[in-house]
Amino acid sequence: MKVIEVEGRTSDDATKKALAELGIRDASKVNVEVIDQGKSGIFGFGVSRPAKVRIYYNEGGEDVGDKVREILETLLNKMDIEGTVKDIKEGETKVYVELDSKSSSGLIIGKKGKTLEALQFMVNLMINNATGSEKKIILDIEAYRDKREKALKKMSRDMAIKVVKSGRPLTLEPMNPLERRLIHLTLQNDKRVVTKSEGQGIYRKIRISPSSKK
Amino acid sequence: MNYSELVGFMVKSLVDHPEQVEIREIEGEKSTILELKVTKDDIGKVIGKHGRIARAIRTVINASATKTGKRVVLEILD
Repeated sequence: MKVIEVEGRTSDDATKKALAELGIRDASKVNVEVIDQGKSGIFGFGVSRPAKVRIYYNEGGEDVGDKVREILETLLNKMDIEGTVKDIKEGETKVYVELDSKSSSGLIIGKKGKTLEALQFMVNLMINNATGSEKKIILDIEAYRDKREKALKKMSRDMAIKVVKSGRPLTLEPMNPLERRLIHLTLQNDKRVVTKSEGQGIYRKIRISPSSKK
Repeated sequence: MNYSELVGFMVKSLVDHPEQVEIREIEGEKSTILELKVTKDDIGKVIGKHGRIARAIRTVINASATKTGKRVVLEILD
């Protein structure tokens, strides 16, 4: 993200001038902050002051969001899976992509989100190679991430209750770092159990044990 | 279903020498074998740390192969 400051007769004028200078046609691609609305002298009386705006814009010309859309839609097409990019929200360090598919969202998500994870990983690599952008791309479809988060929270609480009742530790299935983190966080305030990760790489999983104090 | 094109699209955007990517599709009765060949320098780019990239490519292929009911195997040759 880069910044320039431009002056003009009015704040709109200054913004237009800045966009022309940067060669950006779409005003929605930049963030405009008005520093000074400016003041025009009435009939030559009074002091006139130019308006001043600060423009935040992305360097490099090529829009990461557009490239993400292009790569994803081509990829889905080549996979012979029906799906489109519904929405892209580009932030400072992350790009949120919402996919949409009438008939194949289950296929795009895969078992326990495996396919969605793989697609996300591939798109990140491909975008990184194509544009040099280091933004993290996050894929979602039918609010899957949110649902999965809720399901994991509930499951981990249920498991904690089981552990407390039986007094025996339980090991969950292997999960990725993000999901493990979520479970550690969910159970960190539960004084009756302790959580620990064990195993290596993709096999790393959480073990919930009763806390040792009686 | 054209698996070579799918694999080619992914692999070519990862490697430094896309012109040297070769993919051979061997069609069997129950399974299809994809043989992928890249230059020596690029092999790490298609396998990745602990095979992470290769695994992601295989997952994507398998997702698109679910409908056909056929097994698709990706072999990376060196």
